[in-house]
Amino acid sequence: MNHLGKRSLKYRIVRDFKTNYFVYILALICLSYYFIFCYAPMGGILIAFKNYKPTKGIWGSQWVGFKYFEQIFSSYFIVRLFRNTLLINVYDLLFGFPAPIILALLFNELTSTKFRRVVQTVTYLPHFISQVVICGIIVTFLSGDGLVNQILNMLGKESVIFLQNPRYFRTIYVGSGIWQNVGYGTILYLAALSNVDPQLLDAAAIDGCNRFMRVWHVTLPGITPTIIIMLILRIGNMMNVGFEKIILLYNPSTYETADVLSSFVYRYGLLEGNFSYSTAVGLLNSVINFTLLVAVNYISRRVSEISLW
Amino acid sequence: MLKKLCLLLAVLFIIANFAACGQSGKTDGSASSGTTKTSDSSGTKPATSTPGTKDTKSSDEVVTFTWFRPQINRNAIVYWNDALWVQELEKRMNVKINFEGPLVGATSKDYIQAVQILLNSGDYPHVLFFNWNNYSGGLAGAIEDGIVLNISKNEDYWARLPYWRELLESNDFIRRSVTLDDGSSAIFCHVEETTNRSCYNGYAVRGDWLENVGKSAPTTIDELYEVLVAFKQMDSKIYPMTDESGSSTVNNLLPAWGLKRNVPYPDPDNPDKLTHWTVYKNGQAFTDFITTMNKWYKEGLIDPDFASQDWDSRSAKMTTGVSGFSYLLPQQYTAWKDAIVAANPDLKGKVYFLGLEPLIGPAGKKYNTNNMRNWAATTAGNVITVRAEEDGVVERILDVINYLYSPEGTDLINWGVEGVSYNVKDGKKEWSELVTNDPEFSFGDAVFKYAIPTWGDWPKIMSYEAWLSMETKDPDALRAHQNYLKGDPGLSMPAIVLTQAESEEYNRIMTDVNTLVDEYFVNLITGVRPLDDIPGLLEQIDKIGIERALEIYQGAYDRYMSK
Amino acid sequence: MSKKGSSNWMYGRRSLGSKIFDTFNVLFMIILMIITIYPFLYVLFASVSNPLLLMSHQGILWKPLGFTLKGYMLVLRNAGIKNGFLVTFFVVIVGTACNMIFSLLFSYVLSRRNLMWHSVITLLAVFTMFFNGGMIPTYIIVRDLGLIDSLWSLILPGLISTYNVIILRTALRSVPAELEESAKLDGAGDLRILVSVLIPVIVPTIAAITLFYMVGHWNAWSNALIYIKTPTKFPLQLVLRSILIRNQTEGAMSGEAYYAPGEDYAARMLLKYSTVIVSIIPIVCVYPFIQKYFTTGVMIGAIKG
Repeated sequence: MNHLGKRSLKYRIVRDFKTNYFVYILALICLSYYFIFCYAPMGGILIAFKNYKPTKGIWGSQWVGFKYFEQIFSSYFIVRLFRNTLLINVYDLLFGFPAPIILALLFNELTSTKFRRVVQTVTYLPHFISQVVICGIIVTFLSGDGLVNQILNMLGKESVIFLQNPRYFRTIYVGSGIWQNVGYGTILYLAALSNVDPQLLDAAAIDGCNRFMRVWHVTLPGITPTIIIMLILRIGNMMNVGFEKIILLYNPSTYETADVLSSFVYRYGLLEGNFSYSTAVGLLNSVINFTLLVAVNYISRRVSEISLW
Repeated sequence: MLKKLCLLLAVLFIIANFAACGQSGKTDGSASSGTTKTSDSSGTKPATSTPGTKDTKSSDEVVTFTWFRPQINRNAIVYWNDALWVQELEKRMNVKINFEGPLVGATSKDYIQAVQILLNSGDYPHVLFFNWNNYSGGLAGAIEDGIVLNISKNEDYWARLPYWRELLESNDFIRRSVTLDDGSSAIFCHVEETTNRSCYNGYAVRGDWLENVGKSAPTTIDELYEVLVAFKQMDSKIYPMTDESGSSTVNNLLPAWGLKRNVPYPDPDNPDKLTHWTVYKNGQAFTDFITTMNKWYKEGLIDPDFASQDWDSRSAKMTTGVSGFSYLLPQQYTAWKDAIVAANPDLKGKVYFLGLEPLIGPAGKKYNTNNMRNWAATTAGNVITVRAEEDGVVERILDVINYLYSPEGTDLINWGVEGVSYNVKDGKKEWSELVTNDPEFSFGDAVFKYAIPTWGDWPKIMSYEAWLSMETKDPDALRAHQNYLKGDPGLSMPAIVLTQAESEEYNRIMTDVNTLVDEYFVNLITGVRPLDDIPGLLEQIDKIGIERALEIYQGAYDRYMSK
Repeated sequence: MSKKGSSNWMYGRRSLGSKIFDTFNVLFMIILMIITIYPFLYVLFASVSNPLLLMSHQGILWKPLGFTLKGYMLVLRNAGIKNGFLVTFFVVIVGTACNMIFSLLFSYVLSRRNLMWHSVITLLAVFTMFFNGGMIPTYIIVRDLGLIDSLWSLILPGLISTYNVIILRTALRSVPAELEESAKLDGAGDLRILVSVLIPVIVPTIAAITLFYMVGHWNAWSNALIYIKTPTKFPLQLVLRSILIRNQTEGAMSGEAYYAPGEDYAARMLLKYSTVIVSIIPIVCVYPFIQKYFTTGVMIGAIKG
């Protein structure tokens, strides 16, 4: 029995190569890129465990084990930093993730092609304007006598200094993110929508589905693979918060909700310039992200058969 | 056929890749340009590692070397090689300088990152400008790690710098700033002719508003309070005092209470000992300050957006008549005045900003935050790396640096070329027509095409005269500068260098302390947190370890003073 | 006849509910457009405004304040910006071409479910999205390949974006198996299938990914900061960044972060806004050409034929 099984495996491998050798060659070509630029430098991860000195190189530098990880965790604020990082991402997932999908579906429903093209082009624009300029605009809008407060005053309410109140930070961050990126984010879903088989739609219409039922039963399932893959990838980014925008929008009065791991490390790093510390933080982020990814991928494979691998 | 071709290409591709891998594997993990340690302290001339003798180039030969520093990147000129003074310097010293480096400012994270990558990968330029606080271990560490040449340890090198040595011998402050703990010196930085220049910024109030309310310029905190109240009475929509995120206006009132933000400084009651703003007078001064600011805020004297605004918004408030008191930089005197006049032409000739002398508060002295004991540009400066030695260009570089510190060189870098960018009339230098009447650019922008009259992180001696003529061209700014000079430098600190172990511990404590205090600071002033929270805050800071941080810093300070 | 991919085509009479929905949809879109075009309009107006009036202005800009084209003249004369454009154009065109070729090949590989090693290969690629050695070892590799100060250092290190490859793979997998099989029956090999059958079907996704790569190259600055030494080879965004963010100091007086000593801040402001506009225009112009690929479906008669 065993004997048969072993031969079968080797046989399968050989036959697999024989039938697919061209594809494997392609794979090798592309993987060589990964080997050179991604795997070869991976020894750099060790910097997180060493007291890195450039003249000693990665291998010659002194091993310090988890010293830098201990440093991170010994900060008075570590819990808060993690919490803020995760919460901002959770908010972003809950609101920022569905927004482009819904908008793409709405675009799809527009009857006039010309109008649709105009709307699409316009909504993409904020994405291209640099973060610095956009944050400057946000700061102006939210200031004591900015537009938002003017509207509040008109409605009889008192002015609120939004950027100095920690309670509003996440909303501002996620909301402005949607404003900036929802248009651009629809591109992918629009491409996926273009692939929905119109014959299925015809069939549904003939069966008596009204417009909304057609969207729900045909269109949406048609782009579900895309949505799920994007969701998995998004969850694999849970520990990443782009610190540039945080730095531009936060100030000490909102540290409580705005200070995330990356912005804290930025302030810390400016005082010291220690590569090992920032590498350690990066490694920590990556491990958490990857674990989340594996977990979500597994769940997705079980539930929907759609997964990354 | 197609498939066979692809196969062939693929094989070639893969071979090439593995060859590259192999090569990189060999050199991975060590500095590429050799690791000859040239930092030994015996003073003997170290051997170069390149074959053949690349000895001192004769002075007829043009020597080319690389200088890594931020590009000038100003409105009128982007690259250093386009500047008149650089071209002239190259001619006079028979060199060609290749400037490498990004366009951003030297204090920006981008620059720091770019340099750290250079240093950590072994790709050194010949001359490098950097703030060594951003290198783990500081300058001493960089020398020990075999990156930077310790110039003073080498007699031949040191002998080529007579002007620089003269500077060090004549001024103790400069000497202490640029030497390491063991007395050796490897850094070449910008040096002041007089510490007056450090008083370039300070408070200003709208002069026309003062006249409207019939008050004279305030000299004490209490008088300032009266003035602000009077401004507020002019119009309830006014928030007399405005600031921006980073709080320069509010922060710079701290010295009046004998405080300085976030960094240890000499205790006013006991100048040899260092203190921290949460620790001074057992935290009482801190509490007083916050209480006063809170009172001012409640009375509407401080702009509610003060902690979250950006520079543009603050400018807008000061130029649209919302605020009338803030902390100014020299060119804001002109820029803001012009902006107000542009929007309100009837105020032309009436509106102006009045610079104030440092205010006296509970501490009783005119303390300010200007670093009036700062003769040299702290820990940031230019160094020569081991690569220069390998390429045999050290001697010429030293000649160039020495020249820049000479009287001729000082004139060149601060004023440009006589007859072209400046003229001497009755012994006084003044800018030429070419500079002041540039058709495309204003004077402030055009001057940088020819010279650098302001700080620029070059090895040079500042010319106070050149600086005044450029930055305080506006009479209001000049008057303000003269008022700022009247401050008391009692709270000034020199730039202390910590060892790697010290700085790791210090930074760990201080990042936490600063985060906590900064957060409470704004919330206490705006009333989001009650003032009763202050004792709790001070206790918490104590627990995090402020005393230990002060101890570390004190040790380094004592070391510095005993140099 | 039918507009492919959209579910709203008139199948018979439109109900009242449908009409109401359409009206609200259009209204919503108009509001959305107003909100999202504002930043662009702001920058556009600011770029032609008198900077002194701009400084003393608070709140919304309904129209330019004063008028001056000096900002654009400064841009066109600025050596850094001119060079930046040339460099970026090269990187965008050559780089995107390289990106797309390799990404398509690799996504084809990943889409073949019948490969035994398929999961391993996918995992190898996905793993690199999370773990990388950091800037220093990568710098060393790039240097040892002789790419420092070469424009190829802006193209090769990011040659294949695993993220984009996964998207392409998802699109390839959604192609009905019958198409492939009918091609195989006709005797087509792997490459031919990819080029003649699969690529035409997933054109919308390819257009999207091409756009992503192009925009990525257009906006990129962090690689150039580290790998490019000669200042005349800096790409556009790196130059722009240095105009927008002077020093970005932390803790120091933020005023100094916004201009350098002696500088004419008014001229700086002009330069700032006009540079932003000038750097957006090309990409906005390219977009409409790519857009048409998203609004047409491509499965016309593919199977029936």
